[in-house]
Order: sequence, then structure tokens, then C-alpha cells
Amino acid sequence: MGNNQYIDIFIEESQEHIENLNSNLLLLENDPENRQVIDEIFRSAHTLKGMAATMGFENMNKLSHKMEDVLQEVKNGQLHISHAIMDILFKCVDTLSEMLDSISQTGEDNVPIDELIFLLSGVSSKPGNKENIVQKENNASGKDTLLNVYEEDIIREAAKDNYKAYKITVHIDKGCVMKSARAFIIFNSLDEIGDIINSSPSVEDIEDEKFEDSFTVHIITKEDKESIEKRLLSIAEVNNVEVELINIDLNKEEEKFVKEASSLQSQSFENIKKSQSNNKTSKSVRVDIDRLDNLMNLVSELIIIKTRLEGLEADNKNSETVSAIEYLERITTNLHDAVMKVRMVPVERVFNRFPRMVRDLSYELGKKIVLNMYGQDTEVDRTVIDEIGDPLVHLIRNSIDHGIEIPQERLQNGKPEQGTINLRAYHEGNNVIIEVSDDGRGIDIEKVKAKAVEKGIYTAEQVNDLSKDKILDLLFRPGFSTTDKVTDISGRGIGLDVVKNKIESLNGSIEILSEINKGTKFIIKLPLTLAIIQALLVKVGDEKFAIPLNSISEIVHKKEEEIHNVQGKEVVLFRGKVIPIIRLNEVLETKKISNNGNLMCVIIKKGENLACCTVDELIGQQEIVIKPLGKYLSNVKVIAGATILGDGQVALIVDANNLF
Amino acid sequence: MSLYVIAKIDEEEYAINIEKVLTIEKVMPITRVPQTESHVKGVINLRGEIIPVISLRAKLGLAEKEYDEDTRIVVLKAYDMLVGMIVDNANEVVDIAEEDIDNLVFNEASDEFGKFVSKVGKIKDKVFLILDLKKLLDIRV
Repeated sequence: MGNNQYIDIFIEESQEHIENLNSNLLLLENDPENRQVIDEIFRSAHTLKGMAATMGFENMNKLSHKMEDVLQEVKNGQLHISHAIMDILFKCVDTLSEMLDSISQTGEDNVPIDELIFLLSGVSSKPGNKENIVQKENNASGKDTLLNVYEEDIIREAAKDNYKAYKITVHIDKGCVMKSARAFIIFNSLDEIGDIINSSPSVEDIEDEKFEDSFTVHIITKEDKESIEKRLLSIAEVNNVEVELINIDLNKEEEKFVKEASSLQSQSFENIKKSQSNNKTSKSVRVDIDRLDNLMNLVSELIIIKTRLEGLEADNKNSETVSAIEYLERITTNLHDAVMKVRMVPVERVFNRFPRMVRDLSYELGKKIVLNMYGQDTEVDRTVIDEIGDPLVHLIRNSIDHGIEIPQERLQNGKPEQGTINLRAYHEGNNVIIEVSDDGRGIDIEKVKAKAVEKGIYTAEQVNDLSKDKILDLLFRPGFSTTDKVTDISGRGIGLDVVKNKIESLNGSIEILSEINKGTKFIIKLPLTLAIIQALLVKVGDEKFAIPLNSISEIVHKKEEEIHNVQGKEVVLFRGKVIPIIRLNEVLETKKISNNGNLMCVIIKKGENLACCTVDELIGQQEIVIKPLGKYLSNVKVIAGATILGDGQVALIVDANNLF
Repeated sequence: MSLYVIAKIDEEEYAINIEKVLTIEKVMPITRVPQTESHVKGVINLRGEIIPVISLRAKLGLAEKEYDEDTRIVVLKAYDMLVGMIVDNANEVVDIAEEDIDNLVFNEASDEFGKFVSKVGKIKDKVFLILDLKKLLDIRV
């Protein structure tokens, strides 16, 4: 297929439109009369249709086309939003997203759509009218623009106030370079003298330059034919204008549509203008992540060179040079911040799938749940964002399934019938915090205790001495689930331990707060980025290594004689615990430096476990950029990557998780 | 006609298809990487990118030689990765005609060269051993 180079863009853009459809459908469900939302949905479906057709995805094209038909009826007020229609539309969106998955995997959109097409045709009320719309859509030259009933109503209503309706066909010079811009001027000019009712091709298409060299608009105005002609012909590159007075039977009036119609009329062009300013995509540029990485590399290089220059500056007495270098330093710091910011994406990207999920699951379980989201614009490095989706899905499912009670139970307990789940994201220092909380039944501490005893983790006496936090922590143990029944939604064996593992692998942490009958709150703490970390630089032998700060618990001095040999392994007593000694010079195969019996020990942690790493010298804490060692060395376990130090030297990053 | 970079180990001349060569660098500080095979010398910082470096001498089973003014790191770009290769010298590019390239049959078990060379090229009566990067970089397909 010749479209290969566009497929990535197609998939990405389609995904955005599908997400857009999903979130707007949810809005529509709660506010069925919201015209703007309907227009937004219609636009997304329309764009999807167009893109699918261009790329040759027949099924996708067909389905979105059919959706568009139904939406058109909704837009025109011929169809009222019902639960049934919403369900079908949601199913369509799901199917579209399935197709997209299939396209990204196999390059084909082979997903059955017959049933949905049938359902969509079922809800569609007036097949005849529908055909008209389709015909109008396809009619790119715009010669036979049809007015629909509502537009006729507008004209009728306007005629009462001495407005006249005209059909105007504008021919633009064939050599015109920016047709859409020219059209925009024409629209603006017409707007000054009256109101534009519709246009053919649609305003969207005209904006996208999807028209030959002429288009047709219907307009109501008090001006006469000649002055309109004169007005339009005065615009550059307008070749010819045909203005035609429209006579509509004034008696065929239906009062009930008028109100709606006149609002429609004022919206028609206003909306388009608004959508231009609302449209986020028009203000952003798509950039391949590789290019960003490349940019990041170059900036890192610049910082290194800058550090070298600073070193030279010390011997330099020339104040000109000194101030130039200081300026350079300021710029590079700003540049570094700016590049880091470019890599950041709002958590919205992950959050926006949750409203739909909560809706579906609460229907399924017969629960009433509202999801509130805060801080969607909190930004996180994209290395993190791709990873946090699954853990969050799991926690929200948990809340819906186990947390929130069924409505009767809630009423009995004196709570509002509708349960609430709050999803909150915010920055805290160099971390991002994401909280998932519900006002459900909370975690029954006694039940957890009983389970712990039953599983043989603790004895009955031990369990009573444990603090509440410790007991809640038990929930993160593998295979520890307090639910008696396994449901389809959660409790399928993948437990909180998986969530915890995932978050810890991202160098984050998670904790639970829970109060019985009041609710449960999960607090996830994640680093802003995985590409830049705080690390402790140490010397082992005469080589420099970096140890990530978040895996260091503390630094202590030990004496050689404090080391004991237990079953052939060296251990040391640390805060009443026996922990293994890891001699880094052996693991990292460096020179052995005599230490006179004094050991410098970095205590590293992996979850609950500690180990004592011996190093020869501490250099200090530093922010480092993690770079991979390269594919050729991908099997070196103890090294997590490398970083470039200020002097251009490479220091390896010790992977504390793989040391023991 | 294709161009080949000539890398020297002692007096032996090895040819590398120029399309697989990203750049040729003078020796720079190499950071040793633990728990690797002996032919892996470590990693270098090539303009902000971390690149593993191997020694062709070690790969061929020859004794290492002190790095000097002539020593070069030939950065290979093959099989989706970048690998630097240390050679005694690399300052020549030759043009070998397609018809002057012959397949070689080595006894892989006994001959060290046979492990990494599967073709030879000729220019007049000079013979170049063409390095087989797939074998050299241990690519298993």
C-alpha cells in the first residue's frame, strides 16, 4: 500500500478522534441537548470517515459514515438522544477503536460491522432525508444545494422581518493559491450584511480546501441582489458570482422548530470560528519521539561542553570571556528545562479513558458512580505516562467493584445513593502524585487480619500487635485477596501486588489509607521522569559509578571485623537486622583498594530487603541523564545504563535491583 | 563497485563495506563495563551517545597492543545497533569491483580468520579479507 508512510499519523490522529468521540459522547449522555457537543461528535465522526476513506479502510469508512448519518439526524433534531442510541454509539466507538488496533497490527480493518450498521439503520428515523444529506455531502461542486426543513424554517421566519434569502454561488479564480483563505474572506464579507444559513461544500470542507473553484452558500439579508454581487466581486480573485433569490412558501410554517432553528442559524458560522480557536491540534506540531531524544542528546552535549568551558574559565582572567560563559550557562540551563518540558505530556492522556470505563462498569454492576477527575493537565514525562495506565485501571476497577456499595446498601448506611470516585493528580517537588479515592465501604481491617492468620503469614497474637498501616500493607502481598467472590471486573488473580510491582519498577511508591464505611484512598508517588534521576556518584577501585538515589537507604561506616561469615556468605548487622554484604569491587570487577579495615557502606534497598554495598569513595549527589548501554551490551545485568559526566567521561549506573 | 574501509591489524588488511561504517574516530577514553566478555573493551561517549567498543584483535584471538597515534575506533552501524571496533589503523578506502569479490571457504573450527571472514576482494594482485559483520557481532538469526 502506498499510504504506508501516513499510517502512523493516521493511527495517531484516529486515536485522538476516537478518544474525543468517547469523551464527548459521555458529555452528551449527561446533557443530551448540548449542541456544541453534538457538533463536536459529528465533526470527529466526519473526519474519521474522511481519513478512513483516504487510507482505503472500507469498514471503518462505512461505519463512521453510518454514525455520521445518525448524528446528522440528532444534530437536526429529528432524533432524540436515548439510552439505546447512546449504547449503539458507544459500541460504534469501541468497534472503531478495535479496527484501529487491528489496523496497527495487521494493516487491515477486518472487524465485523454488519450488526452495528443494522442497529444504526434501525435508529435512523427518516431514511429518505438521510439520502439527501449524503447526496449533499458528496456534491462537491455544490450546484444543487438542498435546503433542509430547518433551514427553510429560518428563511420563513426571517422573511417576516423583511429579510430576503439568496442562493449565492461564488466562482474563485482557478489560479488562487489559498482558496480557503479567500473563502474565509468571502464568508466574513457576507456575515457583515446578513447571516449565512448553510454552505456547500460544508464549511469544514471549505476550510480544508476540499472544493474545486466554486462553492454555494445560502444567506438571509436585507440587501438586494445587485449590492451583494458588487460586494463579492470587489474581493480579489473572485471571478464570477451568481445570486439567486429564493422564494419559500411562507404558509408552510411549523412554529415549534423556529426557536431551535434560529439558534442554529446564529451558530452555524460562529461555531466554526469558535472551533478554530478551540482546536488544540491546530496549535501543536507532531514530532517523532526519536527527534526529541536526539534534541535531548544534543542539549546534554551542550551542557557537557559548557561544564568544560567553566573549567577553563577558572584560569582565565579575561572578564569578557567570563561573562560570556556565564551567559552561556544561563541559556543552556533554560534550554535544558525547555527540552524537558517538550517531553512532558499531561496525565489527561491516561485519564481520559476512565470516564467511559466507570460508566460501563457501573451499569454492569447496577451501581451509581460518578467519577471526578482533578489535575488532568498535570504533566509527566512520556516515559512514565505509558506505564501508569494499567495500575490505575486496576485501582479504579477495585474501587468500583469492591469499594462502592450497591445503591440500597449506601442508602441504608446513610450515604448518598451515588458513589464517588476521585482521581487526582498533582506535582509535589520532583514527583507526581496520583490519588485514587472512593467513598465506599473501606477496607475491613479485621477481615485482613483474619486472612493473614489463615494464610499463615502471622500468628493471631502477632497480628494484633501490628499497626494499621502494616496490616493494610498486607494487601500488596502476592495472592492476598480478601474478596470471597471472584468477579469479572477485578479479583481475577492479578492483585494489588502487580500494581505495587509496576509502580516500584518505575521507582515510585504506593500507599493505602482506608477507613471502614468512609472509603479507601490509594496514593501513588512517581518520579516526574525516568530519563533523569538523582544519583550518588561513588568511586569503586579507581572508577566512577552512579547509584540511583531512590534505591539508597543510607550510608554508614563499618569495620572489617563487624563482618561475619554465615554459611559462606558475608553478612553484617545493621539496625538489628542481618543483611548481606555486597563487595562492589568484586561485582564490578574493579581494582581492590586497601581500606585499612574501614568500610564505606551504601545501604541499598529493594522493596523491604536491604543490602550493604561497599564502595571506596563517595563523590556526591548529582542529577544524571540515563542513557542505555546499547543493544550489543543488553545482557549486562548489574548495569542499568550509563551517564555522561560533566567532563565528558562515561559513568556506569549500578542497577541496585539486580545486585541481590 | 563498492567502497570498503580498510582496517589494519598488524600487516593484515580487513575490508569493511563503507555503508556499514558510521564514523572513524581516534582513540578516546573508554569506560570499562563489568561482567562482559574479554573482547568488549567498554563504552565510549561519541558526541553524547553511549557506544559499546570491542577489540578486533581480541576477537581474532590476537594479543592486545598498546593504543597509539594510528589506533582507530571504527564505529559500525549494522543490525540495528552501533558498535565501535578498535583496529590498529584505518586510513584507506578502496573500491573493489563486484566481480573481484569471491566467496571463501574456511574451516571454521580450526581457522581463526574463518570465523569472521566469508569473502575476499582483489585489487590487481592485492587481497583484502572482507569482514562478515554478522559473525563478528554475534548476530544470531
